Amino acid sequence: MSVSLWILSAIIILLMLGLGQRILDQLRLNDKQAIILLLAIAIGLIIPPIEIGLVSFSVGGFLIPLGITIYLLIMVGFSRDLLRAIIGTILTAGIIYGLEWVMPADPEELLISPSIIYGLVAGLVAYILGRSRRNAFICAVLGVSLSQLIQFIVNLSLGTPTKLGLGVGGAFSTLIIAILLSVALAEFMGRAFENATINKEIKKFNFETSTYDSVKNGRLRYKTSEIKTADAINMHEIKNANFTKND
Amino acid sequence: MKNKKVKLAKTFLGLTLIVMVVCSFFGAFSKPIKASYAESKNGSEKSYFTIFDVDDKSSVVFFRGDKVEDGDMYISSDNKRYEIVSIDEANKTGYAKFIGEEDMPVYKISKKISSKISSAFAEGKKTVGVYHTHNDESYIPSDGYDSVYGKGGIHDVGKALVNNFGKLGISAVYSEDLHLPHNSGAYTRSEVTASALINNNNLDGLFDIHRDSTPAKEYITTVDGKEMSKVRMVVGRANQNSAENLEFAKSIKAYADEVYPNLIKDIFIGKGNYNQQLTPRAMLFEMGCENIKKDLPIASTEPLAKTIDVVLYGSNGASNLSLNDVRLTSANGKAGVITGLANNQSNASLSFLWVLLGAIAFYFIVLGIVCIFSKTARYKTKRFFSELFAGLFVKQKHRG
Repeated sequence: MSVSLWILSAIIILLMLGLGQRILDQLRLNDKQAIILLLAIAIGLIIPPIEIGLVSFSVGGFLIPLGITIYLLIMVGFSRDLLRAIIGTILTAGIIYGLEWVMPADPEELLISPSIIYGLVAGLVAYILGRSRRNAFICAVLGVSLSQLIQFIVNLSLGTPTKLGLGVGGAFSTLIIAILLSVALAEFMGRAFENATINKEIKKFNFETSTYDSVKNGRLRYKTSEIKTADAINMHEIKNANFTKND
Repeated sequence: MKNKKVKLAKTFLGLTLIVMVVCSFFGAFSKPIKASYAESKNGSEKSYFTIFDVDDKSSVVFFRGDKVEDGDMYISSDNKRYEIVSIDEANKTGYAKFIGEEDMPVYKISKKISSKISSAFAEGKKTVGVYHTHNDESYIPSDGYDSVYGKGGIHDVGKALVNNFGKLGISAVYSEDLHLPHNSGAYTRSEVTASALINNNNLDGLFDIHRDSTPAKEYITTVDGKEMSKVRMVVGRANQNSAENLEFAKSIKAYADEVYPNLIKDIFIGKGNYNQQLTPRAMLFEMGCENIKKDLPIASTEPLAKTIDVVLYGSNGASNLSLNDVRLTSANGKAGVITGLANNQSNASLSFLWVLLGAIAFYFIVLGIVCIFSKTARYKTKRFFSELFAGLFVKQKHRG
């Protein structure tokens, strides 16, 4: 049983316990949909890969993640976010492709399996370029698959056709690790930035007392209309913060 | 403002395309068709690691073309186990510490046997898989280069092994699928081939055929008066099948040492998976090195195939041709029996099933423990299963 399958099982358990709900909300999925999708990925892996000529793809390892990606792309719509997702995908693919050449060819020279390293790097790149949880997911899935496609096309052009295995074997580990890492980073880093933003915004110098008034010490009073960055700041956390409204 | 953003986006897109083009040229396009991988190895730089005994620093334990790491294990031709304790990457040297004599399987065999006992395997039931992760590997004296962007000389060795399996009644499924280029992604690509071979065929063994890059004298040998190449086996220690793969390697070596002395060079136990996580009877064979004639590893495929035949299928399932080279003896003088590893029920699918069942059991145990202590978890679990099965198992309340 591969590392990625263990991770997948652990994620399903965590979701069943109600964790990670926030991430799923941002992906426009509720926890039950997510569990069903993850279970579908796990079950899809038991189904042998579908082979069409030189291309083979796994139902659980490629088709289902691709389906989610298409759904997310439709949700994104034609916007600047879409451009960011496309550029992120291309760069993620380019970096993984380059990494295959930079890393040592023999597995004994690496601490961990190359497919896991690709997954970690792809996850990081997808987060940096995608930024949002949705984009990170899209960049991870499409970026990893595109890097395989590039090598496939290069080999075809050199007259040495190789097989393209999407979401099969090591590619599945890469894909799952890339998805989980990028989405998790987007979530946790995003939350950290949000917290930093709230602290920065809701803190003012009081010239009368020569101290800082903040939401934390309960001395800062805001008018609702003054919260200009309401979209950026998590409204839920603001509502729970200890401050009062001015009439 | 909008124009500025569009300009920025276009610049970003342009840079992306430049990176893509550079990456492509940095990769395969800039490589010549022949000798792509080997060139870096064939310069003035020494292309192999030399490992000395840490207690006797003038004594060479072994040579290896690929990198050797601290903690790697080595079983020598005389069955001594060493552990690598230090590596000097700049000089490509290292030291190994003698751990002890390796406990090898014992085959009570000698000389020849004339008749076959019975066959437990019907024709066509004996199936193995053969493939090459590094398709480019070649032999300089025969092919003219040590690496080629395509099917290298190693494919001829693979074909010879498959032919010899065929003579012994073993159906060898041979995949000549390419996994180029010879870079860190090669094993990721060959895993697709190895998985397909396992999924589509009921394999008793899966063999990845490579060649090493050490001095030629390390591999040239004579078996039964015939000049041929030695064979090194490589076992990965980073997977769940490592112990069983090592037993498989040790069985092959123990049998070959009795019947075809000098054929098996040694066993290297290195970091990495080598796709051996897929089945407990996967093996990586290093068939000679790049500085020997290709005829030598081709010659060694015959005794290697016979060895695998007996080790996998035992004296009851192996071919007459394989058993003609050996006499089975036992303590009371009667013909003994070799039990083949293919008869062993501990195969890949069974291992996977146990792991899967273990994982499911582990999940329910963890869930149960959490539910005991957490009211929220109990509520959520109950709600989840209730909704999952549309309230099928929930007791309905009757409203008066």
